[in-house]
Amino acid sequence: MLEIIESIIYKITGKKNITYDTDFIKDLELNSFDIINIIAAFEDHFDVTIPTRDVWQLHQVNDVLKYMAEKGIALPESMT
Amino acid sequence: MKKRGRIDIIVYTVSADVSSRKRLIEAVKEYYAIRGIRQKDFVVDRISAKPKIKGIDSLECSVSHSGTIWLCAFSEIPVGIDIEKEKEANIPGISGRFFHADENEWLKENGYKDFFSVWTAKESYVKCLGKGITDGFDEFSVVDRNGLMGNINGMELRHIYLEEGYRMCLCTEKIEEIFIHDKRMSEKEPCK
Repeated sequence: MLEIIESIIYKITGKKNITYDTDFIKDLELNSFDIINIIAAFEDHFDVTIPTRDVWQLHQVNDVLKYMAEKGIALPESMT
Repeated sequence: MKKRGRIDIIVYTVSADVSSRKRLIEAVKEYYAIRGIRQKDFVVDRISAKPKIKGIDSLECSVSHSGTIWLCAFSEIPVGIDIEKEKEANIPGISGRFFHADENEWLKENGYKDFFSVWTAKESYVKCLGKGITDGFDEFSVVDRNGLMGNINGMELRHIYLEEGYRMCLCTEKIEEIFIHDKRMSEKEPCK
């Protein structure tokens, strides 16, 4: 799972060495557009919609994973 | 002599060795030197859409970074600035999802060529208000039938050219003078 998120972030931002604790703003120094761009890519990959109000609760990679688990968002089989 | 409506924009190169907080400390010192004001003790308390600088009550600032550019706008009145490098993205998807219907329609008609101008205008506006991109981002428009607007809800929007491949917009109540201090050529070593 981490590898999938890392590959999406790398494709969008060119940033590597992502861990579960990586913070999008503090560690990767991404700006608002980068984050929206990543979220849009997550949505495309996982075929989901993340409400805008929820986007800014996702500070770390861990938050994304927890959010997806809470919402029952399962990865397509090809990604597991 | 300070002047309301004067905006100073200080530009640096993004560096992996220098955090945004350190850059802002450097920029505040630079701003004081430029204005010839005796430096006061200050602490950068928060880096966000609206950075908080403790110790200097009359200073308003806004930070933005994208690509290789980091910059900060300083003023005596609330100010918002945003710069974006034009980059690959799902532009129609983001426009349709996060922009006002009028903006999306206008961008679609124009082949999305001004997508980043709309983005920077919207973000500079919400930064000036001290907000981030929230649910209300798609509830206001920075375009009308004539294209990009020069003001919104009593605030000026000024699109500024800085460099090829970037779009930048400044938002504040009143713009009288804009001074751009580009420190990129004079940077020798990153501050530690």
